[in-house]
Amino acid sequence: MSARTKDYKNIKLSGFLSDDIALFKEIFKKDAVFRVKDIKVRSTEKFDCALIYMDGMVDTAQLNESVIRPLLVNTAPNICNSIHEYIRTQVLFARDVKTVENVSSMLSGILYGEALLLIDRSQTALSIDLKGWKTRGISEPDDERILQGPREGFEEAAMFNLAMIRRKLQTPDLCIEMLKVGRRTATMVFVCYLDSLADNSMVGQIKKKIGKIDIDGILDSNYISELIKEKKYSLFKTVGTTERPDVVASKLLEGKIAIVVDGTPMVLTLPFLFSENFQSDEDYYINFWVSSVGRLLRYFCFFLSISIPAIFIALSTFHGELLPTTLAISVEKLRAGVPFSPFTECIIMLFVFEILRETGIRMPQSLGHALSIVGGLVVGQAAVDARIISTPMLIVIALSAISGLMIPRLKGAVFYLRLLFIIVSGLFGFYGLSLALAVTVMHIISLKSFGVDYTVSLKRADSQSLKDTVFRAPWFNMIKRPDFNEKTVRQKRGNL
Amino acid sequence: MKRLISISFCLCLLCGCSNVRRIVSQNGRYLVSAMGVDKSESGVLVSLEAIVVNSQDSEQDIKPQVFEGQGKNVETAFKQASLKTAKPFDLSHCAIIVLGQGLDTKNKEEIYDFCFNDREITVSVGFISTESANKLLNQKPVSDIAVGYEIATMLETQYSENKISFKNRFFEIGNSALKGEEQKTLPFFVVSDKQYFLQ
Repeated sequence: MSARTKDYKNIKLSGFLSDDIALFKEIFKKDAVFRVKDIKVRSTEKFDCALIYMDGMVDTAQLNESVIRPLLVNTAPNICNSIHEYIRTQVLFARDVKTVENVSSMLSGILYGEALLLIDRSQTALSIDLKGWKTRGISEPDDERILQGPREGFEEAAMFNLAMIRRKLQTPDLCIEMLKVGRRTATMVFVCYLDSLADNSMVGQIKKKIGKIDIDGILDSNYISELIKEKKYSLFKTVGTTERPDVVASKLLEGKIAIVVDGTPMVLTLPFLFSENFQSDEDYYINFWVSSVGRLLRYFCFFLSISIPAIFIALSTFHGELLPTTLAISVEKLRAGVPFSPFTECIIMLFVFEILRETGIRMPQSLGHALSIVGGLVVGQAAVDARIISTPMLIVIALSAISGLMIPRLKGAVFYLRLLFIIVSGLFGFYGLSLALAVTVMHIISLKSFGVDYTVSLKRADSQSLKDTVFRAPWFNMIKRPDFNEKTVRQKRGNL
Repeated sequence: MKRLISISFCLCLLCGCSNVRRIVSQNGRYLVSAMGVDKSESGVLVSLEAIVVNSQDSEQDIKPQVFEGQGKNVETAFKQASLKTAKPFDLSHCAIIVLGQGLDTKNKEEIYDFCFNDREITVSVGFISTESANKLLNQKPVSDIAVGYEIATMLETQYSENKISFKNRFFEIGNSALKGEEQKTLPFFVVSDKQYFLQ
């Protein structure tokens, strides 16, 4: 086993500075950013120190001013037995200095942006928090843009994200528990919840599931989302994601649990209910009449997006008599000369749209206009003129695609359901379509998110449960929290 | 999930599948706007007024075309007419069935049976009578794209403007026939000098 992969859990420093430096040099011998700085402390009895850190991970200015300068300027008394304690408490200006004893903890610190101060003739070292890597900074998340309300979004450093959540929830009731996941990345994963509102058994269940994850690395919260969700192959999300601290705070206030993963701005929230797919962050910041219209439209657009191409295929292939005569003649005329059947045409157009959408996401923003010209004119108008596809199909696919964009949280599910519905309706007409719809509804109802029914908010007939579902009731009417666990049920928001 | 799949499979087997038709492209069919039946020497003459759309046509050029077929009964005459085209007839948008004079009760029953057995013909299709159905369907429409649709609109106008209800739709006539009631008088159209009108 090489020095790099060896387990250092129970290994301590030798106390001989040159040997200890050699140990770290051996561990990081193939690491170009590894740095060792020798320091001679002025003392009645001469002793040496060595500062070990990773270049780029620590704040250099702070390193010079808070660590190197005080060490060189100060004169240590002749108290060699507790010299590290003297340096920790009276010499260093750094805000967080810990005494570490085993090599494994020292390595974790160095790799997480801390500087390690080795002291001659001491088996303990000082780990100084000097994290100084650059972060992206707070910006508005692109996927969750709103017109009214807070604009800040999470960034990649978990500590800053936790601070943003803490700033919104200034209560000691907020619990933040840390777990390390990933054999090689040792990614910090934080489970956040409000102790008095969250279901303890659910918190335990989530921590247990995260603790069981055995994987090389966690680079994004989706790794955890996929590994802990119950029905792993379901098209529907049972774990929510957001980049907004205000959304996380609101979910925590409902008794939900948030998972913050270091290295990603995406924070997981759970349990995640079906109705949350149709909620926009802005719904709560604008007038309830306006937001209720948006909610209803989103539900309608979900249905429209998955079923409109299938309905058109069923009508044009199986149930032509259901079309009004003038429309039937018009469709007939516009489809004349098109070499493909409506089914084939629909599948082609669906994939063309997906290609355009995917290209639009991946390409630089400056090329967006060029793409819309190419996509809209060349693929759309020219294809119709050349009679490769028909105008009605173009309208149907465009309508379905635009409706799908209303519900970004369901984009994966929408694509597959649309495809499934097209196939069954191409094979069996309305009979197949209604059967597929029934199966989809059955599947949605059967889903659970961490023991909570996915459609719990839609199942209950009482007015309080429905007040934040297909429409958004005004705040003065939303008295109770969503009742998906025993702790949150029948608790009032306040005296009204 | 297994239960879900098995239930779906059973539902597929148990119901509705008999209603499934072969996938036929809509642009591979002729929309029939009206069907006429006359008495002929060999039995009956079926005239089908179909909307013919070609890829080269513009909207203004859509013209109806009458296809004819003769046979012992309506079924064979219809098949005979079908042989004269490359595309099958789609009767789902047939608005009018024209009965020529001289058709006896047996012929009319055959027509009702044909309409009833052919699922594509809707029960709201209107029945009218005229001297010669073939002659009427070969007229040039004035305000609509086909004679069948123009006649249907004329009857609707009579109802909405003058409150005249002819009770000539298939479900009304078929119901009377099934009950053995006396045949109701159908709206009669007269053809004269390149025009036709309701008498």
